[in-house]
Amino acid sequence: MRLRAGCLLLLAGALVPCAAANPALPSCASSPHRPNHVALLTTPLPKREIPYYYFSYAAPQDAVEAYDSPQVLSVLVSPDITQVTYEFKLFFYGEAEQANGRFYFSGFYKNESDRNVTQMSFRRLNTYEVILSGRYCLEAGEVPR
Amino acid sequence: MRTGAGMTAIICSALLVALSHPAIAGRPIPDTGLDHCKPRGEHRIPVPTWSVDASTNALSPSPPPPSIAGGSFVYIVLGADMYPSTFDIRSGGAVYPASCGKFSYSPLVSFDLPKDRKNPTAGGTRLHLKALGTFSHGTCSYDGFFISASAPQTAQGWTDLTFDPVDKTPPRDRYCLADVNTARRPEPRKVLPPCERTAHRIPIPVWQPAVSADGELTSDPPHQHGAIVSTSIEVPRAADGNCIGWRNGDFRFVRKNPISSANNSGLAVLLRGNDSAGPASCRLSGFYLNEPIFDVQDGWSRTFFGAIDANRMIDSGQYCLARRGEESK
Repeated sequence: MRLRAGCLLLLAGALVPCAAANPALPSCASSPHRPNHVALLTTPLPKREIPYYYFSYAAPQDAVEAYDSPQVLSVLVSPDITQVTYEFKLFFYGEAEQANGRFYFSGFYKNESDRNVTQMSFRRLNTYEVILSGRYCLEAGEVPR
Repeated sequence: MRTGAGMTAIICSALLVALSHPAIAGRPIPDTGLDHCKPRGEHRIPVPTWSVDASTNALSPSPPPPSIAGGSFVYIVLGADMYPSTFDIRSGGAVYPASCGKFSYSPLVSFDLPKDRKNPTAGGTRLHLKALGTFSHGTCSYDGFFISASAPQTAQGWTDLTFDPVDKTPPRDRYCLADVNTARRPEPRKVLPPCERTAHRIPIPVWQPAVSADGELTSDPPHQHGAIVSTSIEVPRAADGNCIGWRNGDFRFVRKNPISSANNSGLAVLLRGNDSAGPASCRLSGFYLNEPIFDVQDGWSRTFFGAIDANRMIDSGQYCLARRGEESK
């Protein structure tokens, strides 16, 4: 089965039409020796316990805050999605594309979240290194077959 | 008759003179602002470094120019004797005696680099640079980033190469500096096995479109974020000698939207790396990784393909070559 994942739009929770994601990684089932399991984001919010993600995430420009540090962006997530009463932010370290009134977070990310329930943090990884290192595989059920 | 000690002194003096010559001594490459390319797994475009000794008394012939596509960057390290001069300055159709840095603008400086210095009529490379030299210790030096201004022209054994200066260092995230006089590392070519002979591997689609004179592709690229594609594209040269679609290190082609009557929307396809140049065309050949570009401008969406290290990919044992037409199943 070939997975065709769209971009998930934060805040509204709607799908943004964009090209399909199909990272060229083997399935973890066929490559059990690969230690780093990557999940494609299929839920409105990433999960704290998943160590690596392939994101195709889009966020409206007015929900994104840029920091003085180079390439650090935070996204304020709507309570409609988080289902919590406090403010919740996603922090992204690394390049993001800004276009058409949105920020796009696309590629492989390492989950660096701590126990702080008000935020999660993700650091962008080098796509080429992830693909060619032989250390990453795609989680079961979401493989490019 | 010379004594042994006298002969030794002469030899030592000659060696000292030879070694003190910048190009012969292997003048260190100055800080160019670019990182050196990694020996393996490099995805940036290598900028060839061409170190040339344009002196008439050089001990060895000049290394051949690197293979570059029309419009490619090259870092040139060139030293030329001033006394006697080995080059000339051309401006407005006139030829002036060699001078170094005495112009308020960058003149066209021409160097003859014969294949055989003992037989200069046998042909070679005629190098034309628009640049100001720097004079030091009897040598005029022309160091810096240049861009090939046109396709090489060959007549009567001489190949003319013209380079324009580049104001800024090419962007570090897209370019790296290759070794001196070795633009591309020759590596044994490995082959990806066909998927029919393998199991549980990721099929790599094959995409081999043609390119029209307008830079239009004859087929859609298989583009999915993070996917790898095997490509071979022959890119003809335009009238100006540069390869069609080349700009600032990328090749840009288009797939027009067949539904749009105005023909002014569609997909722009950007490819970077895996390119080589021939006299009549450039070739993009190898494996590319697809990365998304979300920006849509005036009805044009874009997709990007960056070259990846073929041997490293093949060595992983995780991929196979899809039969043409099967990749999208």
